[in-house]
Amino acid sequence: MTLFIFLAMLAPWIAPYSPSEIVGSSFSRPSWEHLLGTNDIGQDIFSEVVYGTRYSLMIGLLATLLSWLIGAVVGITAGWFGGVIDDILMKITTFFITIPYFPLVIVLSAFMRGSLFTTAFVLGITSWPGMAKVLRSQTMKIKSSEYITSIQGMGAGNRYLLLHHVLPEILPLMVYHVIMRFKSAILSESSLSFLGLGSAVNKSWGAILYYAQAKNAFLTDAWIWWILPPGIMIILLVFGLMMIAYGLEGSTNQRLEETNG
Amino acid sequence: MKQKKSYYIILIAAVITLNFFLPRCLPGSPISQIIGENVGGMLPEERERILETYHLNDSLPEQFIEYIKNIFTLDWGISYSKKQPIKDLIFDAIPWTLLLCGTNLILSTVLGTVLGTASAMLRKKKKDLKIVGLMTILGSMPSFWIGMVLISFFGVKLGWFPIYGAYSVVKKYTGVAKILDILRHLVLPVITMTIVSLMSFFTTSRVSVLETIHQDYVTLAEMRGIPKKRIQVFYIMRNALIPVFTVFMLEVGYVLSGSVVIESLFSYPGIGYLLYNAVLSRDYPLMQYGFLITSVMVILASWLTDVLYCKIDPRMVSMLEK
Amino acid sequence: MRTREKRIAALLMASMIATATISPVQAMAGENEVEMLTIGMSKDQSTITPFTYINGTPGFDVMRFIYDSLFTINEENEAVPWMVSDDYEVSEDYKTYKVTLLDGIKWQDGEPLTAEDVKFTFEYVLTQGNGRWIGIASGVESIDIDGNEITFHLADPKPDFIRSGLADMRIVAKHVYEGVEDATTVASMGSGAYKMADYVPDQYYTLEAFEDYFKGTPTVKTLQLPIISNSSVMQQSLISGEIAAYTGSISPELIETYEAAQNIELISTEGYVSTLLLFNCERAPLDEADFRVALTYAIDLDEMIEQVCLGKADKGTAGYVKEGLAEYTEGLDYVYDPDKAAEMLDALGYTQTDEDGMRLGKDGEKMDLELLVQSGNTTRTRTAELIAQHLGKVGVKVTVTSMEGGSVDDKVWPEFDVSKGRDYDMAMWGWSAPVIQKAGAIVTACYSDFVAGGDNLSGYRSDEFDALAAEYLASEDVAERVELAHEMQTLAASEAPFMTLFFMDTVSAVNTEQYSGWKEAKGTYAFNVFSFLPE
Repeated sequence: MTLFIFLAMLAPWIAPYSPSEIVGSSFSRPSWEHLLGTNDIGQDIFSEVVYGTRYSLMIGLLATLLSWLIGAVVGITAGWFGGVIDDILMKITTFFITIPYFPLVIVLSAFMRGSLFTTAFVLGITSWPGMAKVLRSQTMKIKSSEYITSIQGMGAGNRYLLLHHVLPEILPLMVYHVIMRFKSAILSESSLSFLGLGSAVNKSWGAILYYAQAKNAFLTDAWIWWILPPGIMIILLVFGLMMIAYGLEGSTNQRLEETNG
Repeated sequence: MKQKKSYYIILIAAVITLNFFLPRCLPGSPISQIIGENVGGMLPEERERILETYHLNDSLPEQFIEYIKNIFTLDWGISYSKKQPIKDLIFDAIPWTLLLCGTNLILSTVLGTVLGTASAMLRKKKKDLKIVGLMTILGSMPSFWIGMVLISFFGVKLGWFPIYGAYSVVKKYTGVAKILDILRHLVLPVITMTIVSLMSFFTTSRVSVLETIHQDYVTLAEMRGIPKKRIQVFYIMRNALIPVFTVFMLEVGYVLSGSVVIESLFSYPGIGYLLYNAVLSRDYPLMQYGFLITSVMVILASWLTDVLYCKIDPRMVSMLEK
Repeated sequence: MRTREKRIAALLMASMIATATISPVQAMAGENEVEMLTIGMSKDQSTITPFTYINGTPGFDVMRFIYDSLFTINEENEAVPWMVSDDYEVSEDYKTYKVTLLDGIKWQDGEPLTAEDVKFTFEYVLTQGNGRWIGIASGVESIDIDGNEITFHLADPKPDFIRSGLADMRIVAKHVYEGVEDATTVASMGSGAYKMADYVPDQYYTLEAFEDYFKGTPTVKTLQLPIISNSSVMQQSLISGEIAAYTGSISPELIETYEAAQNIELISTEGYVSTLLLFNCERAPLDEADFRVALTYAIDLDEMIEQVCLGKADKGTAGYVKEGLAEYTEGLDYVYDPDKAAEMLDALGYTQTDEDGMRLGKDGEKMDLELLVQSGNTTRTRTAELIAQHLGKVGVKVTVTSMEGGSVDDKVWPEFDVSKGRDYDMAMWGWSAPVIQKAGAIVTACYSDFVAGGDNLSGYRSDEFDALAAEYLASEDVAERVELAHEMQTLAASEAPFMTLFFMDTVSAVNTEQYSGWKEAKGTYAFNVFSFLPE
């Protein structure tokens, strides 16, 4: 993980070229000059991948943050308070799920003029309902569990219960969902490009993959240096995140065991 | 209960309104679809006449009233871009999407839950880490990427499976051969989709099983001396599967909107791809009714979720009624 | 990471290696008379009648199989008599065209095709909504018929009426369309070489040979056209032999791959599909002609064609009209000279720069030009990136914004009506082949009369040009028209309302083992009707 943040911060020093500069003839094979060859207009793929870390992390982070903030607040509130609040919040959530995705994306990007932030915003705003629904059901489950009812019986307040009992318990699930969102955001960005709706000029990993696909790298040798590197970067990043969650899982479970025990 | 119904009515009303106005908010105009590429050379009065024919000159409220009326009379008209009855287009596409996404849903739920539970049971053992690792790799690839790899290898190199369409358009099969043909066309898109959606079922079930293992009643059952296998199956699974069920129902909601990327990659004639093209060509009528259908499906799924929650977990009933 | 994972990883690797070394599937030996060919189609095109097809490629191209016209554009890209005899007459003022319909031409439903049908077609299209046909028919004042003889009386002189009118207008059947209010509801039925036998939206078309076709029964009995929307999948299908050809051009980076495959042959001809860089002539700083011209000096077209098109394209000229066309003007080539560009910009007063070396506006304000591009079109997005680079080198900051196609249309060409204004700085654009091949293309592109200049997306306005354009439209003399066209192009070249970047070659890949009768036709693809006509 640190490696990725490191890469993102130091991109200008690590990458030999600027990712948008044309530095060779197009479709060059890897060489010492261009470690991963060049893409379809002669930009250095290695530099693209290094800079791509920046864009992909940014998009993932912003989209996830937005989706998590809305999702968690709506989900936990609805699950905890139940009744009318739950009904209304859930109907709103369902309404958001029913909003047709593509027209929304097009309308939003037309109003905001395509940029990295637009893409992140679009991905965030369209993905929170899923998070909200899952967290709601989990909160409901916890609320109805016996020990919460008993603590409640002892006169504990909502605030106390939410912060000290509910939050720790839904944390593992939440962490996983946040990671899943992070992953989907990075991948969806390339799918949007694939469908011709994304901002095709951002130098993200998703965009590299999209161009590689569009320029038929699957049909030539180019997949080795054009498709694999960004693909491996995404896999490594997600794997790193999963391992963090994996580690976190151990510690929260211990704490739970302590409280329960 | 009465109150709940009124919420649904408000929700549906909101959805109906949204699906009318959102398509018309899109920048651009359907006129190039209607007139064709030589739109530049049209005289203003010719342009007017065409707008008139397609009722695009009517005021929005007029169009809206017409739309509301048509929803109920089921007279949905002709699509701008395909010049076919909209009802036919939508209802021809829905079965393909149901087949594709339904198969995927079943496969990924079963596989994901089994793997997730297994992974949770084996937690912190080497095998667990391996399963998690594998899931991460599979889950970290963009869908069109997976699709292209499958197409190149199983479709082109080995020639095992067809790479486009939902059935062979060259040979006209009938009877059993037709069913086999459809299944053969289904293989690659379904595998691609399953790989994509597996991870979400996997993580959800894994986390919630893990949690349940540590709950009091499981420990209690263990103390009572109930055999471990039975605990696993009856106690843990039943409780752990609620979040999985939530994710499942969420996906059911999405089923009808289909997976556009997969459908367009494999030229699968589903509703996702149909509506995606409708959006690109600004086909207002096709969009409004198509999205209405998919929206209503989402609402149905969410309603069903509420109902089924109570069936699966009676504790919820008291919760919900409070 | 052991055993199973390794195996799966190995499988993935293997599959990827496999993609790199695809071996072509052996198909039957090449014949020129076959039962069925499968041709990939890139997009659904509705019912493919003259009133319903959507795009030029593949819609119009496929429609040419089903519907015929009086004249046709042959393999040499010339307009020649087709359904009419060779002894046609054109009056000196280019206002009267007299043709004689050949005997024995039949509709696909068996009815004879008569002069009545032709007259009906030209009248009926005016009541319908296709801009292409209205444009042609609205110039026809009246049509006289006498047996097989048809005389067209035009309102204004039209020297180009054969090519852009008679060779374009598809003839439709009177007995089918008469009294039909909305022509789009009628199923496909023409007098062309192939009949539409089946259409399932978004899935496939089936074309069947029309046995009574007046030029003889076509060589391939059935053409099956599955719709394959993803271009990579399309190319994979061609390599695997599942399809024998497809509508449209292949990507240049695949030329080597195809050349290596023994059953596939490449047919390459020059293309007329243009790629343009539009300047908004109504918005500062692009409202200054010298500023626009300076930009054209800064863009290196040779590098662009090499990098983006791998050399498979012809360079555009400042005269817009392509070399080889009747109104082509010599000596209007773009010159790449960044120093000159910088000089011109300095002279215009853009001398101050910011900390990055980018020029500031005349009053010292930040200058950042937006270049709009359609995000689904990789050739254009890449070209736009290159332009931003080139202009950056002379200190003009350009930001590329990619948007969904329809959203770009809305900014550049709101409601597809140039009189409705425009909202952009620069934009990537392109016209289909017929637009540039039409006589008077420069008028349509630059005239500030918004009907005759219906494609003037730059909002260019010049009194001198308008005067020439008006004179051109009124002229009855072909030689004079060409002369006026030269003058207009020269004028436009000196003011650069847009920059004509390049014309991509059309390269078709066809499977010669499945079928050997492929014909090269200039400016179009190997999947053309001439490939299937008997000798």
